[in-house]
Amino acid sequence: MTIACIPLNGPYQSPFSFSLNTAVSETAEKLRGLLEQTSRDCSISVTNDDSEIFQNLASIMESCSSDNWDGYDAKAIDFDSYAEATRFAQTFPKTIPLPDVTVEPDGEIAFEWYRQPRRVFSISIGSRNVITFAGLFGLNKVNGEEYFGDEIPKTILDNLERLYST
Amino acid sequence: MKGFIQLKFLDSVLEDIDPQEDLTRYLLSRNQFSPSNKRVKSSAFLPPQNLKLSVFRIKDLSDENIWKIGTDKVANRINPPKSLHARADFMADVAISKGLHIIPDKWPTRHANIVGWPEEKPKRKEIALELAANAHLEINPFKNPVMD
Repeated sequence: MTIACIPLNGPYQSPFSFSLNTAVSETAEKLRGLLEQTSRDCSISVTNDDSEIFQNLASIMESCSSDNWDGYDAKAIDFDSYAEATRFAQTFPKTIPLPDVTVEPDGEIAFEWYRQPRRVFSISIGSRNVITFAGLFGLNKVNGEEYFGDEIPKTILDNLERLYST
Repeated sequence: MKGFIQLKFLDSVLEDIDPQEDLTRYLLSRNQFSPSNKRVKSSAFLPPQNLKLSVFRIKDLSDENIWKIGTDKVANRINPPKSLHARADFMADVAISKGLHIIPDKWPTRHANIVGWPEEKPKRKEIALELAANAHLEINPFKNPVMD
């Protein structure tokens, strides 16, 4: 896997900050704030194991920030979902393996933990503090929704523990 | 003449979907699959807002022709055209067994929509995980890396 490198002798420069720096709309301002936050997270996390997740978040923000990014009428990344996903990544326990980051057709960001085809757990982070989840554990399946308050919901952690327990 | 025959073959109209029939979902975004794990992510199988998941029927087609359909009828039809990175092959029965319906619409030919998705997103996610678990990832060998 190719991992983007962040220069340690200078400030982290988002690969898509150039085009944003000239924008003046409210949306652009909001996006700029989110990206600056993510950039700070990337810089802070360089020495930690979780830097990759922030870099992946920045990467999908770049590639999925316009409608129809998948060729099938997908919505652009939802800014609030991006902010919530960043917050989730910041509170994520370092004892659990990092997930794959992806975007869903409704613009929500998803984290997916994969061990085998039928041992996989996926969450979507919505814009209104709602986490949608589903998982396959052999022949057993789960799905549901949880409120994402100040910390990661216990149901999510329990399902991750189940995924990695055997 | 050979080209004409090949074109007619690609456009040949197929009858109703057989549960054992192979389908494919063309992938135009790199975040929908993982080359390192050789797997398709579930997001690739979540339908858009209209709850119609676009797939193509690939029965009796050579690998080259499967990629040709993806390039000509999907990637190049988007404005601006996108790169066709990969595809996810799966058997129709996987979708049918989850209560979904596969409706051939023949526009473009060999195209079909998977419909009948639940209204609730958690249930759609679970089905998407099932489809991804039973899908086989193929990376496009003809992709022009300059287009990335």
